Amino acid sequence: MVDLKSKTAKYIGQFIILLLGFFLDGSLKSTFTNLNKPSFQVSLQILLLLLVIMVLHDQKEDNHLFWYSLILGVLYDSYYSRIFGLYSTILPLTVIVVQTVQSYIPESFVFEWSMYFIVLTISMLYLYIIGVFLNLALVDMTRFITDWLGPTLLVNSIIFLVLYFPMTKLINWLWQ
Amino acid sequence: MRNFFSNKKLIIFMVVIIVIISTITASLTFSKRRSQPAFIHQAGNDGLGIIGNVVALPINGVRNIGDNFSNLFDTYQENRRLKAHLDDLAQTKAQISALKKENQDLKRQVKLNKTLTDYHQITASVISRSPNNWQNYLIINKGALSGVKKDMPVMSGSGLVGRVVEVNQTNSKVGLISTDKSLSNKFAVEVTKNSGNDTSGIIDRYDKDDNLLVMTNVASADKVKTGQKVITSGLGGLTPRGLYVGKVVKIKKDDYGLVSSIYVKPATDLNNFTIVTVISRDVEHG
Repeated sequence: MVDLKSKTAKYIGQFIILLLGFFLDGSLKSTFTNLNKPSFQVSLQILLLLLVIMVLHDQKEDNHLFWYSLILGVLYDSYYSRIFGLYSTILPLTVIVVQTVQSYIPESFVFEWSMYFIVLTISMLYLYIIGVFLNLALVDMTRFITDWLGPTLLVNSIIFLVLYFPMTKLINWLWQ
Repeated sequence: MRNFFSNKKLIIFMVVIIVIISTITASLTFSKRRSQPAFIHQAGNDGLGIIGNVVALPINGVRNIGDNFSNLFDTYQENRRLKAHLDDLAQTKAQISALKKENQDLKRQVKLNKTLTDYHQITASVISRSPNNWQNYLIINKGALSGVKKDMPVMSGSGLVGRVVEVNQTNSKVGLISTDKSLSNKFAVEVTKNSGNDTSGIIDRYDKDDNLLVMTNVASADKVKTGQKVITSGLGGLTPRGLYVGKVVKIKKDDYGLVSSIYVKPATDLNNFTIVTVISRDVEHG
């Protein structure tokens, strides 16, 4: 019988959960076509969501989540976008920022959701700015807010609501 | 001022920013130039593609069940409508096969092996889609091993949807024509008319508000009417001739009345894909 609460099991388990988020981002977006309407473009960020929850519930013993986020960020860029430096910047920065403010955030749904909300807004803005800078995103700021940012925040918040309680239960049961 | 530069964190911050910007620009430049990504990049993508396939399987299964239910309700209406088309279709099919045979014979007579209209299809299913909103890439489960090459056109249902932008060994990325500007080389298309010369032009951009493709560089749009069919013209790149793009819905002249753009309604829904077809032209590109 494998000891699920051992340290190795924790490292492997966390990586598998994050990897699942990695693939769900893309395959859910391709499956649910309502997420791709021109005026309602949702960018699913389940990997980011899982990462925020995981960092907030992690005992700060070592920095393995940072390295996970860096590896997954590079893979994310390679697999989904072929431009390196989008998610390979966002994910590690998220881990650093969340780890810095972790001690100020009480363990409750509302606070953790606000944390995710802020991180998500900043990363969407970052992606948009890079897109404009590279002349690839030809959408003006108002359209960006109403058509991209709004729906993205809405849908991802709903997913947060659905995933938060099972995920925290699982993490607290296994690794605390 | 000395204090400013002795701040270690600031220097690290600046170095990180420089590294990020240079990686972004370098990867963009190299990905445009290369026909296939570097070996390690490809190997990573292939590995991820295999796992992605496994993850996509149950999700697509659930979706198929949902689709089956919704199809069930439309069946009766659809059946009636299709029956009306059926007789016509059989006649057209017979005619096409006769014409094809005749065409082959004639080609043999003039010793013409392959023309721009000859192509074969590679069918692939969509595993995933890029979460980033300004990169509408589809990831499909066929790659260089199945003969997919960069810049090949991709169809879904009866219409053109995009172009292959990156090829790995077992999967590849498809850029959609609805993405604003990602396709650096545009599609050469023409409007087919019953009489007279065809009007050729280029698909330039996608009108997001009305979901229409905009065809520009049109020499003269005099005899173009709404409802006429738009097909690829096979000029340039790897696109064969005769892929159906859509129908003309409106013609718009610029302020001086000289240059006109033709608005084309795409033949397929540019959002809903499960299966796509990569088109491989039989003629070497010239």
